[in-house]
Amino acid sequence: MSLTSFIKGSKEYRDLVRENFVKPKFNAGTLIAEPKTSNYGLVGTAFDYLLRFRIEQENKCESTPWIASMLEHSPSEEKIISEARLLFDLYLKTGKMDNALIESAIKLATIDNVIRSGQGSDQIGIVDPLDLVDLSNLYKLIDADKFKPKQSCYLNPTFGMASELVNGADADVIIDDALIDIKTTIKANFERSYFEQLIGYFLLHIIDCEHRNVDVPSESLVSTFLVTAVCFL
Amino acid sequence: MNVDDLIDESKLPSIVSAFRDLLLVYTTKKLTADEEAKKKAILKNKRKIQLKKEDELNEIRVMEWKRSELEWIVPWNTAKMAGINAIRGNQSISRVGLTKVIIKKINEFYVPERDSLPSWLYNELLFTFPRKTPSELLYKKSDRIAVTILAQHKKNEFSTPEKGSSKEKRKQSLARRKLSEQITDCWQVAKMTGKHIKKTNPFLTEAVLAKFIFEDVKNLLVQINCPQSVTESTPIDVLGLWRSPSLLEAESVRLSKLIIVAFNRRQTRKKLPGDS
Repeated sequence: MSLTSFIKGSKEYRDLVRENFVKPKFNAGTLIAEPKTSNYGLVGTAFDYLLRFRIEQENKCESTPWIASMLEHSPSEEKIISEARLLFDLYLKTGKMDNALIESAIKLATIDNVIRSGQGSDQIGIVDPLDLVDLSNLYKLIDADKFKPKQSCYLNPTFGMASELVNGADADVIIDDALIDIKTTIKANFERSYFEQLIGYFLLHIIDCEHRNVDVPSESLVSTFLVTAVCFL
Repeated sequence: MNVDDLIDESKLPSIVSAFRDLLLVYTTKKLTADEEAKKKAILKNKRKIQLKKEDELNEIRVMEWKRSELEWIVPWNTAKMAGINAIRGNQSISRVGLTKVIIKKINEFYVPERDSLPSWLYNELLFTFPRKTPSELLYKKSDRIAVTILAQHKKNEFSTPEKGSSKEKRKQSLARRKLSEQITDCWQVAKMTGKHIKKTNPFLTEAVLAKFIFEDVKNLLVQINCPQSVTESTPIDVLGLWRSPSLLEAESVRLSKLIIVAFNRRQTRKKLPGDS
């Protein structure tokens, strides 16, 4: 059970959020990088990798292992992962994003999807050249200044014991005290499901803090919506 | 935007607690549902295996049946030919005599223990050489037979102009309708019996099944005091309705026809010693 499936399946949770949290309003953005394919999910996951690469290249961050590199892999998957590592290491040094790394991000995303959903194993390593174009366009839109931490940066953070409650929830990035979730979407709306997901992370985070006996940062969630709205709609 | 803008912070502890409870409830429900689904899948799988086994067993039974059919087709055809020749040689031969000739021929191929004969062969023998008149037996397609019998019944009983007063005519008409309905009911019951028999014994030959159905309907017709002309109506033309896909059964029809011809001829003659 993932956090998403919990949210989908629990009307009580959705009501809880509706009754207790004020969903912020956003001005609808415009589509700034029109997709070339309908592989929205795959492109979104691959973009998570690219953004992570970018933030890590420009900042000092703590990070959890790539989801794609978790669990056991077949030799072909191992090859994808080790190639991606090589290219990523090179990128960390040069800061130059190229198609090879974008392609690797897509391949990692194909493995990532299988690990998360258990489906799509026949798609592993397959890259649509148009997805490369999409990702290249999205990468160019990243405003790196918005991801500059003053104190801390966590890539792909999990919520400790609380994550286990939902089979390992992981957010995209926490910068200082802001929990940021990236959505690449063609609909310029701030969907209620996004909000419910973020609140879910937030509540898991509180549970984790309680469990570890640490203070809950009160500024969490601050820039989440901002980033979502500005960068990728 | 701060958390304060999103929520009244004083409520947070109760919200977190509610969230935790919801997670636990949902997880428990999910686990139970998963467990149930797992159990169902196991049961489904078991049933699948069972069905597969049943299919395999049925296949084996069919194979055995086919093998026995193949093994016996030559002896049976030879025996039938012996029977046919016997009829040709002596058209007034009795059923007992004819059966003896055929059984004797079969025995040349097989140890003559009746129970160890393949069931289909035994059934064929029962069917082809019954204790009752052959014409009672050769019916299979119940619906068409029912129609034929009803037609016979109408022809025999009611085709003659009715005499008497209009009251009497009405009475007769009512009786006729009632009888027709009763006969239809009898056929329905008999068909159900036939279906049941077929279900409990899928390897029963159609001929024997027809025998069961027809005997059943006869008994039922007697029970409702159906006129004898109806119960005894033996539409020989219905014989043509009986068609079997297998060569063996087609052969049996042919033989049966010969036998019927022989018996019809014999009926006009004097009863001979050895006749049943």
